[in-house]
Amino acid sequence: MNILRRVFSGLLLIIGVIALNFFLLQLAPGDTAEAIAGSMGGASEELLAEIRQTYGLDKPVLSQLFIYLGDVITFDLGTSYFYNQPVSSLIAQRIGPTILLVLSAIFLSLCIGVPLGVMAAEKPSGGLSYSVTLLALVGYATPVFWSGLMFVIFFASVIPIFPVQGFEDISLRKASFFVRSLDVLHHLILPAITLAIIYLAQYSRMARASMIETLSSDYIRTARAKGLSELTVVYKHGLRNAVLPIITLAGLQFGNLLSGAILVETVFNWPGLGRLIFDAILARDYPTILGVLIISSVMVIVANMLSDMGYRLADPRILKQG
Amino acid sequence: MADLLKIENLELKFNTRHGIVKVLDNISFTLKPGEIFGVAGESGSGKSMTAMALMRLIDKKLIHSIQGKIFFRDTNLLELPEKEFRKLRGNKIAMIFQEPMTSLNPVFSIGFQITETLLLHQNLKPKEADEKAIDLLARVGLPDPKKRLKNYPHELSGGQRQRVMIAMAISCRPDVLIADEPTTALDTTVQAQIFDLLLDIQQELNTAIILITHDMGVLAQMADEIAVMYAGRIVEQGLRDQILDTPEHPYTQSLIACIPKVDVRAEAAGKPPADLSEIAGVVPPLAELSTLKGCSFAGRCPKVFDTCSTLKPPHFRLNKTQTAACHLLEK
Ligand SMILES: Nc1ncnc2c1ncn2[C@@H]1O[C@H](COP(=O)(O)OP(=O)(O)OP(=O)(O)O)[C@@H](O)[C@H]1O
Ligand SMILES: [Mg+2]
Repeated sequence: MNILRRVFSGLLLIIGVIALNFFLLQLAPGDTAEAIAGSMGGASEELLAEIRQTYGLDKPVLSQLFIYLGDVITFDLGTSYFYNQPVSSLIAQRIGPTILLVLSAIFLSLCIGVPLGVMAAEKPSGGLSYSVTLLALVGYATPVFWSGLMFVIFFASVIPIFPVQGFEDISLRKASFFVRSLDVLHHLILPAITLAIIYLAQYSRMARASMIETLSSDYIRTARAKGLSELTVVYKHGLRNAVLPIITLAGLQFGNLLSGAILVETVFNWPGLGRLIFDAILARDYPTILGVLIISSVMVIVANMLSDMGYRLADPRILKQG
Repeated sequence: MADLLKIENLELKFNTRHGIVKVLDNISFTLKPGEIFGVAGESGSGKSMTAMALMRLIDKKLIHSIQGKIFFRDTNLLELPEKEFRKLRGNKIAMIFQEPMTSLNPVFSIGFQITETLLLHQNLKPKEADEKAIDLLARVGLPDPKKRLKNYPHELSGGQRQRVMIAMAISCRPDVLIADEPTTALDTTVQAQIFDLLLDIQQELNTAIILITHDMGVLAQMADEIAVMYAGRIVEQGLRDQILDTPEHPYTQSLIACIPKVDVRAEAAGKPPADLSEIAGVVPPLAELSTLKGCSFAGRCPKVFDTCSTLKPPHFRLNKTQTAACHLLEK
């Protein structure tokens, strides 16, 4: 019941997002038909008219929107002007690497950031605590493309132990699945770290603040009064409570993570959705842009729902409420 | 009878923004098995800090120094390594707190929180711990105990949560139970029930209870012995009847005068029952106390005289069981 309602409101949200993006793209300067013709090399009036007709660009904007919405429902996202391929199959090829990149970044930043913040919280005025604050500041203030480029320069010329371009080594195409997976992981390291840095900073800071607050609560005193070891007190009784706002933060920031992925994918030539939309924007390839936007909003909405459900699982107080 | 707990000259100093302050000054008392030892005093007099020092629960960052001895049977608790002390804490020495609403962990079930203590200190299988937890919940008077195991704290009322806290505290049959204002946050009918429960437990398990409260009326009904604290110091101590019938310290006298039911004359005269706030003035701040030469109650004492502001009164022994720290007793 509850889940159904959420799915329904999620769907409404997606339709809203599609319409909004659709109109925004209409406002973009320049004529789509001319852009398409330009990429083909020539532009006679006849050709332009033909292009307009093929892509339905001669119809009124509103009916273009409804046609598009109807198509989207049947998973038809149109055909890319630039790649001359169905947008859905373009997305299908690219979505894997992006999800891999984004999930690894979340995993890295949570697995490093949260313990770092917790350790800092145990001694709020200790050296580690200040380091975490500093790290948060630096990580937050450093633009992704800059840290990405620094990594590229460093690992391309100073110590070339990690590949700085692409998703896999083409010469390994015929190798076993295991070898190829390792190769992908090897390629993944730098982009994932680059993307993780910002969130690592945020999660560690959040974990620190949340943990400091939790550790001063009455039930922590009760846990100590039971005779539990400090480790159990902090990591079982404390962390379980302190992690709640972090789950919410992780869900809310999924969108930011995706937009960060665009930059990272561009810098590291990672063949994901970010790279796809970047190229599509340069080529004024509207169906592709729209398609990627739709898929990313679906991903953001799903991520939010997941974090919400995670929160409900972790916090019994809201389990039974609407 | 041999002493169960013996506190000798406990002195506790804190690091604060205003420098080093003395929070507990020369606290000494003993507790016999099965005894109810009452600690009374206004807010800020150091009652909780005494209890927290016994439990070694005070934040180490706050502590500047802690001196004196706390003997539990023959071991000095203050010298016990943390790991050894943890075996006693929650097991032989247990505590219930002032804040039932927030003292249970919101994300764990009641059953989990009770069995956690049992499994920690006793050699039980999870199944046995569950059964024991049900017994305990029934013992503290929670209806439908089996179902309650699966409940979370937010599904219980304040009184019920305090019962759960008590069940947790007595789960390992402690020798000493510290109850720090266990009913302050509860309404009056529930208060009486909780006190009855504590009395039952004390009789059944022969647990000694340190009962902390600012309500002399409660101690008049429950305590065997009473210590009155003021500004980090025990100013008077004795058997219950001695404190109630022949209080010697002016502060104790004014506290007694505040017990509503005992104050028959005030009631007869149509005056509303007095309460603590009727003792004019407030406890001086800790930072000020540290620089004070004389008696810390001098500023509010109705019987104050010259010596009070220049010399700190020592503890005078009035008889075998009663002591008081007041210059009036010198004469
Ligand atoms: N975290 C702290 N930092 C500094 N001083 C503190 C801290 N906690 C307590 N104190 C000081 O210790 C003194 C004793 O406090 P304590 O909590 O023992 O009082 P209490 O008698 O239990 O009062 P109440 O009836 O309000 O519970 C108070 O003067 C208080 O200001
Ligand atoms: Mg207190």
